[in-house]
Amino acid sequence: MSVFERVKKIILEVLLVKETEVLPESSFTDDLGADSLDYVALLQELEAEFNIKIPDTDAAKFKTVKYAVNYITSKQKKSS
Amino acid sequence: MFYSVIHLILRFISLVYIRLQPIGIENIPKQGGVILAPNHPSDLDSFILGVAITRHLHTMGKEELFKRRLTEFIFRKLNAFPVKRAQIDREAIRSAIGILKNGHVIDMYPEGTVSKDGFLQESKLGTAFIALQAKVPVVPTAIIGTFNVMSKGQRFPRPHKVVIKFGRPLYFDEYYDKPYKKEILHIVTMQIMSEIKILLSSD
Repeated sequence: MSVFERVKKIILEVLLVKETEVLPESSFTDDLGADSLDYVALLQELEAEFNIKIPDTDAAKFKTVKYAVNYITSKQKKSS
Repeated sequence: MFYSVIHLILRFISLVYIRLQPIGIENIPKQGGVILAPNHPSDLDSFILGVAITRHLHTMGKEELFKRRLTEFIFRKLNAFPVKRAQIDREAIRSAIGILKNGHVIDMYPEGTVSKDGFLQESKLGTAFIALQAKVPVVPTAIIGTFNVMSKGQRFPRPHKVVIKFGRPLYFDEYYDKPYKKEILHIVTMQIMSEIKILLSSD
């Protein structure tokens, strides 16, 4: 499963949105309706799924699905 | 040591100045992590709550209180830890969960902020979120009278009787380790708030 698909699976579980709504350019807040608590849960799930730490300074930049996917991909590359 | 000394001094002052009367203190589990979830009529609530109970209370304090060395020293010694108020502060959430998992008592206000008129406000989901993450019980608590002692914006406390009622602990074990769901947080929050309402309205 690609990083995007894994991220998408978590978004679907946490935000309870339709699969068709989760696109790379989707904004977590504007398009997917995430509030601040959803964000915390989402970040927690991503950290657990990909076994990474997302510092708060980086977390603040998680605006779109694409950003999250790129961030996780680059983290994985650095650790490999 | 510092906490115990301050606790003793404030307890004496509270008994005389605000005739502090805790009711149902036996409802607070004697050990293990637990959240005290009260209504929030005054900035003084955490101080008075800390004085009312025998276990040491940990509390979140707005980060501005930690900016000066002296106040930071004092608040840290009083088991306070900083929280950024304009946003969800992941670090503060992690701290709260860690403190609870280490078996301590924290006060968390489901309303999220001090009430302007002393009445119960709409609740937020943060208390439920932390309770489920830390897997600890919640003691619904009613604080009565602190609005008259020091309401929002007031600078000095006035003498007025304060009663604090501790309800039976609520256990939410059935929701532990469940995937994050808003409905669950709403159910837990509603249960806490309805117990607080009952405590506030009962004699």
